[in-house]
Amino acid sequence: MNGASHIASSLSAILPILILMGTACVALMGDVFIWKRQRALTGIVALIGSVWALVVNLQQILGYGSSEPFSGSLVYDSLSQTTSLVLLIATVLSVLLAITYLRNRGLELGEYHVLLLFSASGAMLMGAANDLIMLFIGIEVLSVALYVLAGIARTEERSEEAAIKYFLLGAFASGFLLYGIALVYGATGTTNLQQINHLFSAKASITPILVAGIGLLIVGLGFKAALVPFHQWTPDVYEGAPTSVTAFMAAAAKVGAFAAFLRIMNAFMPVQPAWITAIQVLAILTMVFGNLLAVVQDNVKRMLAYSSIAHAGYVLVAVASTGMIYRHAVLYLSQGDRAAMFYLLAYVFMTVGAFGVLVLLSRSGKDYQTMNDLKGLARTHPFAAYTMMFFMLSLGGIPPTMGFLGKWLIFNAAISAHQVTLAIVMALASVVGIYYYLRVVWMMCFQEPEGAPATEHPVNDWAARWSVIVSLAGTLMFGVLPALLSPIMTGLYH
Amino acid sequence: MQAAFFGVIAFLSILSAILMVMNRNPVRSALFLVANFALLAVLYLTLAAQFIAAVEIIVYAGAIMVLFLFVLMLLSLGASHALRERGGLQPLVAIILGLIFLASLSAAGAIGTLGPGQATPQWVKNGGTVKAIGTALFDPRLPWLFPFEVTSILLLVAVVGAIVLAKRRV
Repeated sequence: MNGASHIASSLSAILPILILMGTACVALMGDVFIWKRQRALTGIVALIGSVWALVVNLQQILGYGSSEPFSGSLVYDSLSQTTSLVLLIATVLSVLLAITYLRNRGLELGEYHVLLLFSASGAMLMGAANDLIMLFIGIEVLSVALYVLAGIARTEERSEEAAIKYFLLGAFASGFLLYGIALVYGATGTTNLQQINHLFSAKASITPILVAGIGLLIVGLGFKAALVPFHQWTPDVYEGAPTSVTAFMAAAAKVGAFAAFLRIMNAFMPVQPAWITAIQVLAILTMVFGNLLAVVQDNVKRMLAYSSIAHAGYVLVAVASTGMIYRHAVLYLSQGDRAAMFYLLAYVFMTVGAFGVLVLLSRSGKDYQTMNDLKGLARTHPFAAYTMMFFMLSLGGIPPTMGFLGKWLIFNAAISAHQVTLAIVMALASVVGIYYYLRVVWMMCFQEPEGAPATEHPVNDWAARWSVIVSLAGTLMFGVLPALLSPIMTGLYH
Repeated sequence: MQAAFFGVIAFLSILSAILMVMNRNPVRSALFLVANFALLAVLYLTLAAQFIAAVEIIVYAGAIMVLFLFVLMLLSLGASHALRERGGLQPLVAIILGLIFLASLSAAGAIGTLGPGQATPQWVKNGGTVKAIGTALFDPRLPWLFPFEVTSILLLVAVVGAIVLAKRRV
């Protein structure tokens, strides 16, 4: 293949990412030079761009293609396409939330949407990375934009604190990751994940330096995915960041990190004994402590932060049960990978939905944050209360929601991969989880509202409302009819 | 000869790093950091990485150090008492943790087990030159073109982010 046509086919393979990046550039330029006084337009442009990217991504998925764009720095297969799909759904929902939230809080900065789109494209690159260098650059694009987004409410101390904390710990984690990449390169002589896989398939030699390298990679990604014991930043950052940022951060950073986890662990599949224990221990710690710490939280955003840690533990169970196979250069997703992708999609719908309800309730100067704020919500804000109830039930894993089905798929994958301990811990941890999710429902539906109902002038919140409705529709529809996803998840029930 | 040279440079670079951390005067710390960067550049040269050695001097010892010194001058932290540690426990814990990290790395074999390099004279002559790196970065048959281009997005994000966070009015 000659150079020009190779680049042309490479560009068409990453079209969704290019659309996001292009939209971000157009929005940035337009915001600064063209529609200076119409800040709301930037949000609309970002929305159109991300929906367009989503449509192109769906076309690619239904086309069942797979390729290695740019001479193997990226790989476009079912895993990266599904990751992109999950991320683009999260992006569309988050842009909608941001349109309402920024207006309600008087924070209308066009750069918000620009950074959000760049951040999403970074996460998509992580999912498509076929090379540890590419993976690192993807992580940095994702994270640098998120650091700024966390601190975008510059007049608030807590937002600044969140940004600084996230930045420092994120930089620290990047250091671990880079050191890990260097050691893996030292052990294998390559940073290309597919070559690493071939190398170990031919001869699975576990050297100490390789173990150290994989360990540092797991620590670095563990920070990004907020696994216990690398989770300390999560509650503070989730609480301090503006709620719409928290929604996106909880979704995109985690999906990106887990896509990277799946890629790396599958590359190191032939040397599984070198890392499986670490993943198992991390999964158990994350599930147990995430759920136990969530129980004692009084702030809803902190509670959701710990709940997102717990959910990271569930997905990690799927990572421990992974086992993709490259056969004739085509990637076959294992049961564990499909369960992980399904769960991540469910997680995006429920978490962005739950934070979306908080966005919907936010009015200028006031955030709904504590459990007390939620008292009697069913009477004062019935739409918010009842949608929130469904998200809580889904997060708790109660049928007929997507959260239940996702847990069930991961449970099955763990059993068939002989990870029985993990499956048992997961089931027990989920039971603890149900307690604190139902506490929110109880507060909303069976408690009297506190204080006099504040007179609220009606605001135009169509965007956040639509975001919540779409999240709810996704949570329920794919919970009842998961077969709708099977062409996308490439044979969920094979 | 080679090992002895490496030993001297490595010793000096570690010494300058320690002096940089231990020094109470921030300006002197910064100057030891410059020395450290220069010694690292020499180490890169011994690895036939001429380009990286030059970039280390230009970017780190040049640009970044100037920024450091600017900040030091602006904050007028010249007085040595300004930086005195409040609690004495932190350095001790840091040293212990550092030793544990070192011990676990060497137990894992990450230190001292990298075999001899496979550098040929041809590679040493051409490997780390600007030309070789430029060709590697822009050759579409190699996988580095795309990551290189994406770093421009990374820089754009950083610039936009810095402006957003530093702008006065909301």
